[in-house]
Amino acid sequence: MIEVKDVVKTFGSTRALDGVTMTVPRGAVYGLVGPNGAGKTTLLEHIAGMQRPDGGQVLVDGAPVYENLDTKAKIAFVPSDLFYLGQARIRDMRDLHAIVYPTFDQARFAALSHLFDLDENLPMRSLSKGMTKQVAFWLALAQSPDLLLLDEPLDGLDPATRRKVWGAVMDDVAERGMTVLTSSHNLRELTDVCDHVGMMEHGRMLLEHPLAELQEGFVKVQVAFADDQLILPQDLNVLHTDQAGRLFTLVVRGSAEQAEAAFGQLTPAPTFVNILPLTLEEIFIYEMGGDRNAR
Amino acid sequence: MPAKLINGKLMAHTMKRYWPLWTAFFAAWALGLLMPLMLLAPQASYIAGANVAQTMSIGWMFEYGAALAGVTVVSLVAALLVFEHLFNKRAAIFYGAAPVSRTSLFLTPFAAGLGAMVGVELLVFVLLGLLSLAYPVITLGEIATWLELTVGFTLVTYATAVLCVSLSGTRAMAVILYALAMGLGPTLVAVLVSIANTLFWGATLPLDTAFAWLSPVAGLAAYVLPTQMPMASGCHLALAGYAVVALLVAFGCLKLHDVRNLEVAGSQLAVPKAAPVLKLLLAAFVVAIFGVVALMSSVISAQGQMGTANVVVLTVIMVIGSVVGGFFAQGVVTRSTRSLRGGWKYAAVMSALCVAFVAGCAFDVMGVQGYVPKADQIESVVLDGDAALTSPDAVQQVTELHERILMLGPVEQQVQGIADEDLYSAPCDMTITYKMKDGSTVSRCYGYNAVLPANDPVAAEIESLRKTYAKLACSQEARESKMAPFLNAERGTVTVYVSSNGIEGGLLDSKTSDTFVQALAKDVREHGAYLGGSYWQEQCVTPDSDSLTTLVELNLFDGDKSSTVCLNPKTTPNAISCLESHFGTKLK
Repeated sequence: MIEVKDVVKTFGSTRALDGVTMTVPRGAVYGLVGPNGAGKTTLLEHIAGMQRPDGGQVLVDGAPVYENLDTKAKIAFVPSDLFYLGQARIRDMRDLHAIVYPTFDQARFAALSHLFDLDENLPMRSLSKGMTKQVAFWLALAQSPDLLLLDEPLDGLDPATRRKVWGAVMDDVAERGMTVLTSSHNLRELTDVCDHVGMMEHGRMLLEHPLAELQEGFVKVQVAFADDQLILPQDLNVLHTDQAGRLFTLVVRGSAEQAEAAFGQLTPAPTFVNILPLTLEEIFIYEMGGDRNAR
Repeated sequence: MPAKLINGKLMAHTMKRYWPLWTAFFAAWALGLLMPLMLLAPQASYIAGANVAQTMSIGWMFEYGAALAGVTVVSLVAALLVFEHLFNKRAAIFYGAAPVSRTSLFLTPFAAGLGAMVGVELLVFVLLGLLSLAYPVITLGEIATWLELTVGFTLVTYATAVLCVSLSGTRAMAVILYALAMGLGPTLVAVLVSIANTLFWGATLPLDTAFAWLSPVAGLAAYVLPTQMPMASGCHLALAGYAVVALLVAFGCLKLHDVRNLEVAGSQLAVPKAAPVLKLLLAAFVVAIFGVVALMSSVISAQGQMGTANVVVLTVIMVIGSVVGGFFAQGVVTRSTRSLRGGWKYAAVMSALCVAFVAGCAFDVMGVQGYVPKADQIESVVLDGDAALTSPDAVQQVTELHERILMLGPVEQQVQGIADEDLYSAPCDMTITYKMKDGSTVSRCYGYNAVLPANDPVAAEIESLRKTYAKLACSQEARESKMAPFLNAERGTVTVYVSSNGIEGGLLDSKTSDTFVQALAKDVREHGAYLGGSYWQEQCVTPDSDSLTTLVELNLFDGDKSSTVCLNPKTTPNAISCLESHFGTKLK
């Protein structure tokens, strides 16, 4: 659905995107993660058609997005800070969306009202941050978009509301094949909803995989040796090492089978070996900065 | 989806959203124009004669000026409101991501603001038309002119406001740019010309409408606002020209918007590379304000020769203004007082420019002060404001006199104990205006008020210069040229007002005024009469003898020309006879 090819974007002297390449398949729920300043928001704005790249291409369904009104009509973008008109009520923002977005469905907006439990006559200014975010989702889902772009979507939402909102989004994914691209720092939550992950740093994509493949590509190994000296297999890519007493904890790039085989061939053999999966958060931490971030 | 140039629904939404502004705009016209007309029109039938038209005309002239002032303000406010996405980052993201083309994103709010303002004006026009039907004293021509001017002013000022909005990322900066666009050019020129005039001895560089085009509102006021009805064709043409430029500016703003990075919403400037230019302009504006203060201070006079000490004071004031301006500009553009270090270079540049300007004027680097036109390039010379000389011989004599004046130069005060303000408060007693064959004008004004000993050769030369000037200004050619405007005026348009004497004063009726003008012209031709006050009567009529008693003093008016006439039996026997015949008594 989305193809980003070597996109470059510079603001003044800052190179926000430095040759980003990314692919998001149709119907995927893609989590975009990265440290602050990695370029996630800038990339989302390019995919939303708000920015024109200085180099490279941003394609949605094979067509460039920028100034392509047909393509942009299929995209709903929920930014981290929602725009609303001064003195506007929720219904006024509904009316504005209906004017601007040809696919906006008033009936669907009304149908979703039970989900968000907000009075349309409430002034936007009187809403809390979380309530404002709910309105943003409400408006976006009422568009029935083919592509939903979310920038830090869960910020300010309580756990119950998050579950409710993600439930509505996943319903659309399941029923209509909507594609979702979300950026977030809440990796634990992304693990629950995403099936693809991309990690960015310094304006570049470090890696992108289906989540299952990603998790299979990293393991945590707990190992102990008789003489308390750590011996590492030569062909093992170790990202991080930690020691607590006689127990060594290693974060290793590779599958569980590869790790098990590597330690099995060691001489002398370790007295204890335990292989555990890594959470997405741990993968992010060690992939981004390794030891520097782990402590 | 075909891209629409203007999103009609969004445009309507925008117009509806800012209904308080359009309502206030209409209310201003209702209170300032419609209601006064509704009150005045019924009473107009009680005003006698041609004064009805004159009274209404004066009223309409005021309204035309009020229209310009009003739309200048409302246009800015409208542009600041409708182009929200240029100032608000959240709005920029919303509209940037929406399926709305960049062109439509510009044209839609542009049309909303302009359409709302013009819509209000059309509504007022319709109501004026209804008033005109009820009260014919309100002519269709006048209200049509009002509509033409108001819509034209709106287009020009709105396009200027949109340009300022397009160049900035904050509303404050847009307001600053608008103020600069409207005020900086003419203010700066006026200040520089005024300073030059104080530094040049005798030179009076023109401070007229020539530079008004530097500011849209000043240009509209100078070249478009009519001073009489019906409006001259030149005013229509000027307005059409301004409208074309406004449309070109709007097109330029559209192109700028197409390439604008919407992320700059909230930053001071939309085009960061323009920051140095803007800082210099802001600094220049501050310098201009300091220049105004310097000119208004008692240390520096607007007339006469400026002493060395005052030149130094002026330079110091301008340099201080440059320093303040440089740092002010840096602080405003960066929106921070922490980065004021960068203001030093702008302060230095402005200071250097000010010092160069003052020095250039003080040392007459361009040769302005010492310039005397060549006689063969002069079409005519005007002395004493309206005494025109065209004969080659007279023109040659004037240039020779001018060179003598420059050779003498300004005369320093040599008597102690006289207050400084008296030194430089001399009136210009010798004014020379050259009208050149290429259409340009060169004006000079020289005055001497130094108190010198009687046997001082400089005093003798000054006296000689004055006498030579008076002889030229009192020549037959000069006297007839002063009389010509009144003589050649249409019958019944010259007003004669008896201002002082022993008989009953006041306005003469139209027929008597015409007869009086003919009689006075005859006196000018045959008896040496001179149009001017008592000073000129002394200079021209009785330069070498006792002064004549002025029996009657009158004022002549012909539109924008006026003159004073002193009547006495020797030089104005026919004019006196005319008045005696009118009043039925001898003048004493």
